[in-house]
Amino acid sequence: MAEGAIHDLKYKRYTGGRGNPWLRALVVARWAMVLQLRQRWVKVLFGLGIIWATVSILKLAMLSLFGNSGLGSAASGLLANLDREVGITAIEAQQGPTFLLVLACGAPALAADLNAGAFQFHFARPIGVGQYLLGRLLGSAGWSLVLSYGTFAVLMSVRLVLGGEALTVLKTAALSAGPLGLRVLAMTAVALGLSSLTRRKGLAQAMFAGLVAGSWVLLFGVARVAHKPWLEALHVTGSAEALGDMLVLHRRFGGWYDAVPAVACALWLGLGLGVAAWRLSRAEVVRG
Amino acid sequence: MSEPVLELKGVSKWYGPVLGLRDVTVSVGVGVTGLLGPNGAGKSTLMKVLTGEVSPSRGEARMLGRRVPSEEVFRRLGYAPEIEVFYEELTGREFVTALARLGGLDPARAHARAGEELERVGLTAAMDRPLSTYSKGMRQRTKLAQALVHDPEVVILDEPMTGLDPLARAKVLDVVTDLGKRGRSVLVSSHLLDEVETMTREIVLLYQGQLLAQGNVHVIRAMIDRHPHHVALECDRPRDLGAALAREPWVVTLRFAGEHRVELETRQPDEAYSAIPRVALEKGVKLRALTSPDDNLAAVFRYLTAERKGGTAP
Repeated sequence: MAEGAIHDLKYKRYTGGRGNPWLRALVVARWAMVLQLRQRWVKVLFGLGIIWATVSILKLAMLSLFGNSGLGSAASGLLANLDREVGITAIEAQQGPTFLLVLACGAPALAADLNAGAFQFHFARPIGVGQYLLGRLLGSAGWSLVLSYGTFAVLMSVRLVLGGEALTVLKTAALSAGPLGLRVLAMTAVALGLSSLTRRKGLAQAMFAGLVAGSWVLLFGVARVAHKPWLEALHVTGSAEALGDMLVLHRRFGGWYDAVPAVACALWLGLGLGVAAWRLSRAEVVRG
Repeated sequence: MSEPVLELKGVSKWYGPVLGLRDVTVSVGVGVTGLLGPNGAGKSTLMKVLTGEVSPSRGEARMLGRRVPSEEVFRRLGYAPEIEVFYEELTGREFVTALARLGGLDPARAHARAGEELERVGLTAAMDRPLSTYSKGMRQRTKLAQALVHDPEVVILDEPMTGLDPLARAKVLDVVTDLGKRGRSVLVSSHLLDEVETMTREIVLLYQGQLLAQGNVHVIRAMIDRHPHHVALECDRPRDLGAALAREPWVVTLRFAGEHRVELETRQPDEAYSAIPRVALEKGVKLRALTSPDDNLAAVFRYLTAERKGGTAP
């Protein structure tokens, strides 16, 4: 049969624009973020993040003020490396709140859709698994990214206002911006991968929390005992943080181990999304 | 019928050891087509195969000449699944708008079309309320609105009448029949023959995962009518009524069941239904109830299954 067309009666096919299919990922992301903002816990966690950010900013402001005034030898010592400290603080300032936000928003995301049969609405539309997954990644990481980059921007601005050299601050910002985003995205990708393995939101969250916390205890413990600090860089969030340390603080593991943070970060990101894509591309799994 | 818009060719689907569809070949053209079958007949599986939700274990599904799943096909498809779970925190308008945007409509047009479709299904007053406050009937209508919001050529509706009150049912019937009149291809599933007959004459019958019959409902009815049709009457004097009815040429068998009940079989149900009240009136018998155990789809399928096997209906 030739390509089907409806010839009879009065139907006239819509011939207007349909937009770039990949932009539909943004629709999924926006949809997810709107839904999250209507949940009490997300608001609470976001509020917690703002408090966290305020503490970091106040700490930076006091260090800058004391250092610049010549008071306090400890502060003066820190001031020497203050720009680097700002970079690392920007990456790590929201560790706790972003982990909790991903736990609340990312870990249950696919499990909830699987359980509800929501894919029946999504995938009868011209949207592919890749576009959906990208949307889910951005949507689940969305508020964490807003919080992280918001804190980052304020920290950099405060440093500039309180005597930081513009070029140095911009250089630090450029070096720490990437690891900051990667940290959130790798964590969210892992959350989504685990979420695709079950229909139970609680189980998905428990798996995610268990993986992040369990691997942290294991890797950081072994790294300390065995005096192999590069092991810390294998962790889901530790990889991006180690990458930040390398870029901002010029911390090195030595030799081939210097590649560990970047490789581990890419692996977590790829593994999480790969598992989710594999699960979603299996039709019977998708539709429940 | 015009060129097929929806086609299944030799489609079988197993869920592990459970058979969903068995070697189903069917085609659907423009207009409304009813997909009928009792629960577990394979209606939802057939729809899921057509919408690309499940892959057939054997055979192929095509829509608008293309094999599904296909992005081009999905752009032209509107689908309302049977599930009732939504993103409860969203309003009806937000939900329909978001799905319109996934269909590729720009934000302004998606918002406008969502409003139009929700108004069309009678949800004007409720469209800005969260979905969590919607009744089952309102959810059904929201699903219908999201299926139509991007103005699709092909519409697949899985049990759209379930849970609707009479007014909402009339509204949905109007929408579905109007779609057919305006040249869309609509496949609508139900387990109630009467419900489907109000929307269309074209039906597809599924039973235990197999295609039992396809065509005009009158033809199917004629097939059914070749078998004796059961009618049960409850009245104050069953023996007097029975004696009078026994003289009618359309009565095949007659028996008394209990103190106030008489049951008969006929091959001309239309004549029977018009004659029974007249005969009762002539004899002065107070007719309390006139029912047919056959007025359900399971009976229809029992008949047709028996016919296929070359046997007789139970």
